[in-house]
Amino acid sequence: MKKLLVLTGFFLCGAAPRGLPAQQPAQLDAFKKEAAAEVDKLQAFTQQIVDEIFSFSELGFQEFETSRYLTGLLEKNGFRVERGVAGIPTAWVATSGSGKPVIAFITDIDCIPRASQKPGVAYHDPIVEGAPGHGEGHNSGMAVNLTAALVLKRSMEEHHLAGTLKIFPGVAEELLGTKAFYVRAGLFKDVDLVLGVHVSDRFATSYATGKGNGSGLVSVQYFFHGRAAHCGVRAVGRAQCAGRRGTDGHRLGLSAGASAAAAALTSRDPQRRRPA
Amino acid sequence: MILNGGDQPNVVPSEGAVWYFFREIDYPHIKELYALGNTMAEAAATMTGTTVDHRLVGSAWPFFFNKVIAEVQQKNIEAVGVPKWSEADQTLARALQKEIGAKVEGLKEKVEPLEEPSKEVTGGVSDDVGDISWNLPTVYMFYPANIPNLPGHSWPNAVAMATPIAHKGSTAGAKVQAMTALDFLLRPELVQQAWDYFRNVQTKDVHYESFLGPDDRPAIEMNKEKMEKFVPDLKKYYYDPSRYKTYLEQMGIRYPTVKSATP
Repeated sequence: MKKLLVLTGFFLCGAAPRGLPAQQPAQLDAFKKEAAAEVDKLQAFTQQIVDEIFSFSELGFQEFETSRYLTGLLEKNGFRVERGVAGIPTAWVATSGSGKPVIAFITDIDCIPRASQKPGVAYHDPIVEGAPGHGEGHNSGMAVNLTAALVLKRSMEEHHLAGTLKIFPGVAEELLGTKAFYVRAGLFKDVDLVLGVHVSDRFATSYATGKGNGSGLVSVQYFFHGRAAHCGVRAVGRAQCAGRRGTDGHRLGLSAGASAAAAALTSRDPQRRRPA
Repeated sequence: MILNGGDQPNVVPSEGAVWYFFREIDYPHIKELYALGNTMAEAAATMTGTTVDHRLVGSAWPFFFNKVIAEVQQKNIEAVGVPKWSEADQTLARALQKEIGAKVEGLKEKVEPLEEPSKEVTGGVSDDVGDISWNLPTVYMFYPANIPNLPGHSWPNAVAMATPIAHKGSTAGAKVQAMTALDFLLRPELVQQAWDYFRNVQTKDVHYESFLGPDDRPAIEMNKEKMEKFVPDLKKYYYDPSRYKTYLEQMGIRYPTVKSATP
């Protein structure tokens, strides 16, 4: 495959002046211009995906309508789809093309509890009171990725470009719930690079830690089991607090498990909590 | 967050549950907080004569993006540029910003310069793409499909998301996405350079270890009840593109709908 790729690259560079390093294949700019023009032709397709996923408004791990819709669209457009990957019912991988490089697109698809809102209305006006809604704009990422993927697929076929495209959904990103499982399941083993997209009010990219405003975390639930009792009969747990000083000088606090036990045995002690 | 705090004050429940995020800026410190949380939970259980078990329901490495890809992508972002917003788009943006008491400045009209990483990591948002970014060269492109100065994770952030703002922003994003992929398809040396950066810079001293234990499973049952409660109502409003050109049209919403004329 590597050889094929090199040959393809060589062929594409054929028009470049002799003796210069193969920095910029002559066709690259033309192909990019053509791709941008093709994306413009798909504006209605893009808009429909944005609007459709917005209307589904599905929370993390429950993106059934969304995934059915997207995988249907992808299959209709000639992508091979594998469903239920990494043991997650709403996760899938769509693939097109063959050989190297393998480029993966990924973007989230889940929404936010209680964020239901009529679009285009500049005040709070839910579509369904109390319902989930796309209050982070994860309804738009797949419009970006599918539009680009369709255009690329055509371009690669037409111009005989070697390479594989893979599309992944970010399931339950709001719960930070799946991508470590994708990795563990080996879904990126043969992938060369990942182009992820995320909605923003900015047009931007970054590298390394960006502006240094990232963090990681584990999300953990604790379950306490005891005996039921009449209030006042059993001892009451007390909320306590512990904290530690983070390397950045910020105080990263966590309220102690004692408050968890308090929650387990009484619901009266307010949980003292500091945001991390 | 108290997941299960009982039913009423004079009934001491037999079961209780709490949910924590242990957030930090690097893997060792997150592991340390996680271990501390487990110790505290055990101690609390001992103190109160209960037993405790725990479940990891989510995790994320702090993200780290690839310089080679970001530099290629930046050129494409600059070539595509921010969409041309209409007066209606700007009116919606300004009216929403005013409504929620945010700085009123409409939509952004210029692309951002390539963000240089700051020397000091101060901590902030998490995204589970972090785990992917420590396994192979990865970037996240931010495309302009929403209104600035919003609180995040709430209804104001949904306002623009099925309007021409989101549609145009997604089209612009798709162009950059396709163009960047073409750069790497036609210039295999860039793929190699991206891996060189990944191997020789990013992961020179830091090696990925998953937060997942061998018994951890995806929390696929989460949100099931919450979603089932609303699906019958939401279904009535699913978008039907065979009948309506846009969702705004289907919902009969005049664009933009604002409380009063904004300057």
